[in-house]
Amino acid sequence: MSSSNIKKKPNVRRKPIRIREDHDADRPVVLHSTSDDLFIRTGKQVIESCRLSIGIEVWLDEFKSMTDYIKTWSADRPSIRACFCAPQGAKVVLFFVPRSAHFDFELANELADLNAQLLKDFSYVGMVEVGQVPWAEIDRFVDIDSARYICGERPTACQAVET
Amino acid sequence: MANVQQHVKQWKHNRELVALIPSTHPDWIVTTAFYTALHAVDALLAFDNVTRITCHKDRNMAVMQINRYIKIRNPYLTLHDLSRKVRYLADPGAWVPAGVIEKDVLSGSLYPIENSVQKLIGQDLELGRITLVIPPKATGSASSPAATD
Repeated sequence: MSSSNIKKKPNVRRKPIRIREDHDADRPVVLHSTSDDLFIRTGKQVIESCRLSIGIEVWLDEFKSMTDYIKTWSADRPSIRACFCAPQGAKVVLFFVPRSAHFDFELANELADLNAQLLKDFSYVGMVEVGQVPWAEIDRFVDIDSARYICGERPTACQAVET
Repeated sequence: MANVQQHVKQWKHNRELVALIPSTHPDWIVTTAFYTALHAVDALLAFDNVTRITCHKDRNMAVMQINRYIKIRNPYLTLHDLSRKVRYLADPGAWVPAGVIEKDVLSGSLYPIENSVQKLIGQDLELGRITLVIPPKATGSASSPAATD
């Protein structure tokens, strides 16, 4: 049967290919892509890949909910100038820039509460670390180009010293 | 694994150093104050048999998730954040001015941690307030050899 014939068959009439973890764990599964790449996986690997994909989707959903929450939380606090987020090893780090040029101890107290709350309410995201960085030296701690912008002002790339 | 008394010893050891750092170096006062607090927290963790704390992340998680440590949580996280950043700044004095050390770093952060830990481990270490070293003002040009020319 040529590949053109396969394409013509409507999907509804085709039987699904079933891979059962208990029976097909070691069974080779050959996947032919339209770009002629050939993937050979075991049944176990196919199932693990699906699990990982679901895990990533759930993590991304929870992460999005967390950043939305932070955005709203920050909007109520005029002492916050900006907020960025970046992965650091196995944790997610939130960088808050205070409006003041110095470390804001009152904000630090609120951020500590926020940190504990995020761990509790968005536990699927994993370890989250919250901290402050000065606007004038933000690029010492955050790569603005690759960090995720959450809210507030956006510094110019390669900002070294505030003018 | 170090026991409570070993951590208490290092807590006091670091605390002594805080008092020796000139107030012209608030970045290093903050850093030393943080490591003083860290050993106070580790003394508490040892007292409570909380094991497998191998890094800042583990310790922070414990401080945030154990209800008994609620009074330690905010000042400890504040000192942790402050000390981790200030050492890397080109202008640390702008981020942590010398004027905030006594009020916000010591009275507002370190002492509450120390007081809470002492209560929780049932020990009164009779820790006094830290008296910061204020270096004499730089001598003016009048006393310098160049000025006598």
